[in-house]
Amino acid sequence: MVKSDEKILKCSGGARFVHWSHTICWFVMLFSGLVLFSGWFNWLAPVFGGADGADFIHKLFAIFFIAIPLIGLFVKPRSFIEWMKMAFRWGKDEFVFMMKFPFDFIGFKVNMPPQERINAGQKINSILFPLLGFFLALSGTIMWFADNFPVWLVQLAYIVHDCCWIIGTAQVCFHAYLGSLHPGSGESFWAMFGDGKVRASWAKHHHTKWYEEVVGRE
Amino acid sequence: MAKGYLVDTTKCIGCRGCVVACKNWNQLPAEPTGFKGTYQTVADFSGNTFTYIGFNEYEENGQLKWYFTKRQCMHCLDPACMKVCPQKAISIVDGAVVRDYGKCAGCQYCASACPFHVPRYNTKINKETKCSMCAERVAEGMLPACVKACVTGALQFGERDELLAIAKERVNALKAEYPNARVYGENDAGGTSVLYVLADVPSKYGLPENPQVSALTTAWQKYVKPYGPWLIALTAAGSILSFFSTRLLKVGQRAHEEESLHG
Ligand code: HEM
Ligand code: SF4
Ligand code: SF4
Ligand code: SF4
Repeated sequence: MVKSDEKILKCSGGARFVHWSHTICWFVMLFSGLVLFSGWFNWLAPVFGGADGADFIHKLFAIFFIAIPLIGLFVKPRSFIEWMKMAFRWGKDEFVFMMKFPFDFIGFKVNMPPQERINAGQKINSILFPLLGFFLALSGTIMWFADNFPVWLVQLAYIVHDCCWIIGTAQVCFHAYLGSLHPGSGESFWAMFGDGKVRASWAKHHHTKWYEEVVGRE
Repeated sequence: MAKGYLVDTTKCIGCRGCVVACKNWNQLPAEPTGFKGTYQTVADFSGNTFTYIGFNEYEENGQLKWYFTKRQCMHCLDPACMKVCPQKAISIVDGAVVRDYGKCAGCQYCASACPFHVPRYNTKINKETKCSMCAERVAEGMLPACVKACVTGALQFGERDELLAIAKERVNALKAEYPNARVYGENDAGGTSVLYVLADVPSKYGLPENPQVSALTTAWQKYVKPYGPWLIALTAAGSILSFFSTRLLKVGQRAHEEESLHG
């Protein structure tokens, strides 16, 4: 039996590596991209050594942005498949969670249905980010090598690229807040940021189904 | 009134003197060409090619006919390339649409916005390139290099409205023999500083019949770019609001009471 202050592994080393290295890429590409987006962000340009530099950094990090998840996928294909399987597993508990979530978000007391290792909101996140990343990479590659594609496809790529980084960054705001400063989230933040482990008592409360699976029913 | 030039296609003999003069003046390297079943040597614009002669070949009444077109930037009066450029690198100088290489970031947005698909990417310098109407020569009182090189008078440089009058007069004279003759560029794409005298419909010359900024580019510029980013402000504001309301209501905390840590 696991004691309540004992720790269990929530995020593997590989997951933590991909998560944080990709986060760094995201922000570097966001800020260099903003310089290319509009004259509003000219004040950011000196950070990259001008708009030229922002263009260079954006393309350089694009390589890492594509390579990092591919390496993760190559090294641990099975954990990616497991992750995706879990993300796409939706039952009543997931839908009830999402319906009650707005109240929790504001700060009312709600009794959430038991959740797996990742809750319903995190499942949405787990589907959304790889999807947006894929389309960012796809549209970005078309924009980079624009001369080699039909003009209409390039024009479409601009819209896709912008929609993806806008939706993604909007989601990053929620995700970053919910994963750190939202009441009750500190534990999972330190798991992702630290050694990947959470206290069993916390897991029991927040991810009951997963706790029961790992620790066994009491 | 601003400057422009007139391309009278009916006077062009396809000698390509202007193409060479342009390469020369702009110090652009020659690019290898191959035989593609036509007399046209340069197939398209490139990062190093600002102008070329289209050899549009047709068989008419058992006779081979060429419809030559000197192609280059049209120098639009209301240029789409200038409007989409986030770096404000493109400006109009006395009718010429010119790019400031110092400001251009090489994002290539202008290329696909242009209704004539003129600007092309030069990988080596990471800039988009195109004809500048030789603005720096004109500023010194010289003719554009291509106009100066033209031996038949097919290219004429001057005030746009004077050229337009000349073009219309020429078209009137052509009408008897060529009923489809017309001026191109007076109102096409909102009017261009480069005007053409055509003996037939534009498509015969490889020119778009109805040059327009695509709906995708318009949607991107008018809706996605100005309104999209507000979504980020919305979720950021929502998160800040939740940070305070959860702490004010303290209910979020009570729900997690069983854990000693309220992270
Ligand atoms: C593999 C991934 C990506 C590739 C290949 C890529 C490529 C590009 C390219 C080629 C451009 C045009 C400007 C330039 O040439 O630098 C661009 C613009 C931009 N990118 Fe990316 N990108 C990628 C990922 C991202 C990510 C992750 C973000 C943000 C989180 C982002 C944000 C932007 C923004 C804001 C612009 C300006 C768009 C506009 O002006 O409408 N990109 N990207
Ligand atoms: S023809 Fe194209 S590149 Fe030239 S001014 Fe018009 S929009 Fe710009
Ligand atoms: S390639 Fe240069 S000129 Fe064209 S839109 Fe981008 S910054 Fe402007
Ligand atoms: S005006 Fe100058 S840059 Fe333009 S095609 Fe003629 S020679 Fe080339």
